[in-house]
Amino acid sequence: MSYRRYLKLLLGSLIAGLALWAAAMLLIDPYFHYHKPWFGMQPVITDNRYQNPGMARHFDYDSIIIGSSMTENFRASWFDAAFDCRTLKLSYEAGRTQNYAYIMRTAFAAQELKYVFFGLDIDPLLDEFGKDYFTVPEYLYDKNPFNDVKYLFNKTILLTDAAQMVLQNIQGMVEPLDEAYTWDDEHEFSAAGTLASYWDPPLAETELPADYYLENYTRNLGENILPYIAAHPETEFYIYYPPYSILFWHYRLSVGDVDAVMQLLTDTTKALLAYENVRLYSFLDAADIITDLDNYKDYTHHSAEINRQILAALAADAAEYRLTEENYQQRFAALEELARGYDYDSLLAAKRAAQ
Amino acid sequence: MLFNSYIFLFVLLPLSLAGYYLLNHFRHDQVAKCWLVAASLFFYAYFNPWYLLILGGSIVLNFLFGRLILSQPQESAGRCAAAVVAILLNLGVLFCFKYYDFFVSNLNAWFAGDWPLLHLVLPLGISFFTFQQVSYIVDCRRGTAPRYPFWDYALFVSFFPQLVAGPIVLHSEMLPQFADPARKKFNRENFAKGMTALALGLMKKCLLADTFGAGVTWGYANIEGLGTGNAALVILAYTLQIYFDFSGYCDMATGIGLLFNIELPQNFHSPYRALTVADFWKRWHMTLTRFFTAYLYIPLGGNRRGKWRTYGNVFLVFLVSGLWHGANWTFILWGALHGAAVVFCRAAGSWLKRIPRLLLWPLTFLFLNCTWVFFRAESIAQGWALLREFFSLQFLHLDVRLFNAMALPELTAVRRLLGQDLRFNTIVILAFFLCALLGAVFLRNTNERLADFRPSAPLALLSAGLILWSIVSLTGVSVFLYFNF
Repeated sequence: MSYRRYLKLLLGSLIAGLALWAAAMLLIDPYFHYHKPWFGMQPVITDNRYQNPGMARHFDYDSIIIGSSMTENFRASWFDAAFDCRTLKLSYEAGRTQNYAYIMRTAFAAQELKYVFFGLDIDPLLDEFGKDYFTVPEYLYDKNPFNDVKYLFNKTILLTDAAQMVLQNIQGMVEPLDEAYTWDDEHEFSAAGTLASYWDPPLAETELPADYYLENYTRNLGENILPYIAAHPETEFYIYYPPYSILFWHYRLSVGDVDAVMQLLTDTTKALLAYENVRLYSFLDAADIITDLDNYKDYTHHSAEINRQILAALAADAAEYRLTEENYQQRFAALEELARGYDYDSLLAAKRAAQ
Repeated sequence: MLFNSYIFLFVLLPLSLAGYYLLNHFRHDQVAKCWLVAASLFFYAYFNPWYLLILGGSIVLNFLFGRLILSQPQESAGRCAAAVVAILLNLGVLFCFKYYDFFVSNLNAWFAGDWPLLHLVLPLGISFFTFQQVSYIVDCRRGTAPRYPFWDYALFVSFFPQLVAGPIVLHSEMLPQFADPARKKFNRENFAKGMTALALGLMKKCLLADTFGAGVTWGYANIEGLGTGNAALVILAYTLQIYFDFSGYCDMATGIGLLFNIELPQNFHSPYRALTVADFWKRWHMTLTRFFTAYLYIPLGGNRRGKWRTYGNVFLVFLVSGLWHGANWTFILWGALHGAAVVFCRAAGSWLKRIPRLLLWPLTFLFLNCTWVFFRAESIAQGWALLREFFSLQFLHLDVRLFNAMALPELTAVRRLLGQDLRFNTIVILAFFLCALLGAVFLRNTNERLADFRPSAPLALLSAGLILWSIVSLTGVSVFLYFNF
């Protein structure tokens, strides 16, 4: 064989191979980076950080659910029925405010939104601004077309998610979109399990100052959340603080930041209530939910049944959960009293005895 | 920029090749050289633009010192003084960036002092381009280096195929090639060889070294309780990782050099075939051994001043080599152990020859494995901890987490397709260890393949396939081990 033919064959097959590979990725596009699924395929949803951007850009919807894993067990269909809208769930596991900002920006760029249903957690507000527990793949998030090579030429994506998408569609085994990101069927919700998973830290001897998180939540809220509410008065934001189990408050007592968290809640609430397009709810003090550990799998994560109750309360605009200018201080005072006065020793006695 | 990156393979390499041959075709030789220097500086600056100041400053200063030395009469005091100043400047910069913090933190520890550290980020490849230029300065002083034009000299130091991780090239083997008109024309044979060497190098780095690397990372993070079996696998994984990583890099350098019709010196000659540690150093990082022999061992007197002085010189060279690899006691210990072993090989030369190969090879390979532990370890204590596990003679179950760490997506895809459980990973990965080791020892190495290269359709398709497979394996964490040296 001559060197000329050798080079022609090598370079020709390399270019053909690269082109075929990229074509397969472009057609299947398992993260919907370029289009929603073609050829009548159903989307196979596995990872929020990889798939949310594409879903937000290319799927059909007029309302979104955002928040952390606490919102993952919502079914979009519940909201569709209750609010007469077409909802897409774009939750981020261990979501931080920059994730929420990104996904709101992307969704608002794609179309006008009727509703944003937003499970607003305490942790992302008090965390250091910009901190992320999982890095996002920047090539799916930025507008640089050149780093798409990391998507187009990536064996992990083609061999796992793209292959799964094709296989599951052929086998007709695709999970409905309504079940995307749900995990309630993978865990047991019980007081025994919740207590077993709790590490029961010793209580703090000194209390952190009330303004301990001020800088963090001012930036998290002011830079990543409020601007989107202000920019979209036509969109109604249903924002709620989720019901963490009473053990969450035991944990806060161990950190010694109950004053700081109360200050965070007060300031955040004040800021959110200033917007006419915000309806704000708090389930933090829903004593019937949070003191019944059978509703939980760990100190924060509740069952889908609680998600149902939250949805019902939002749909009914339940006054007992709605926060207003008039009631929020009193509600938080009651929450603090519950958190500080709860009989944790009785709750944890059996666990401690077993150790 | 790394060779194994999209920007290098899709942008810099094709553009620099096209520009170089086009400019040469239209007889703009000088511009073509500048084009390659510019491409090399871009390659370097892509890591950190500030590094460019160090590289650029180093090139200009050494070039000027070279001129100064050559302008002095041979054997004059001025010539000698200029060379000494230039060498001290080179080593001083290297010391500041690479060794100052190590030196001062040890002083602080010994004398309970509180001298401040510099916390400088090590400029990539500084050890390589410093050594290359020290050799040039020494040769200027000896009168064996001619006056080179500036752009030729700049290209010799910065030529991107060998810039950040060697091989350590000499001016005498590079600059004549840059000047050779025959090498400025596109040459199909060299290009075919170059693409094939690039394919082999990419495969070694992206498919082999990085896979072993994942197991090594897991192993060094979970040393306690590994037991003999798992520790042996982790140690062997690093032995294979560092070989495939560094020799893969050198294969890529060789290949890319050939795409430009430039032949780089061989740096690896199947080192794990070595029967003695002395033999290993004739096969591993050969251009470093060559440098130390010519510019340290022989000036120290080499083997001309009696047996004991020879042993002392050998040991000193290996101590320096250890320190060259990194500013840490782990590297110094690694260098000392190798130095001691090479001295032992010299002392026991005739006696060693009587030992059967089947006994000698495993002993040498075991020694190499154990010493690589200190090369990889963050501290000597960590190295001992892993060796203690290895020699504990506790044969526990092989840890499935080690195999999971090394399970490539293609393995997972095949396993799912065949409906196999995780034991499948264990079997395939153990076979992978065995094949990689046998391949490193028995298969012909890249330079041997290039020497009797015969183009064929299967080889062309295999090379294209390896490049494609490596490209689609790029996304993920992939860092060359030899960068910090």
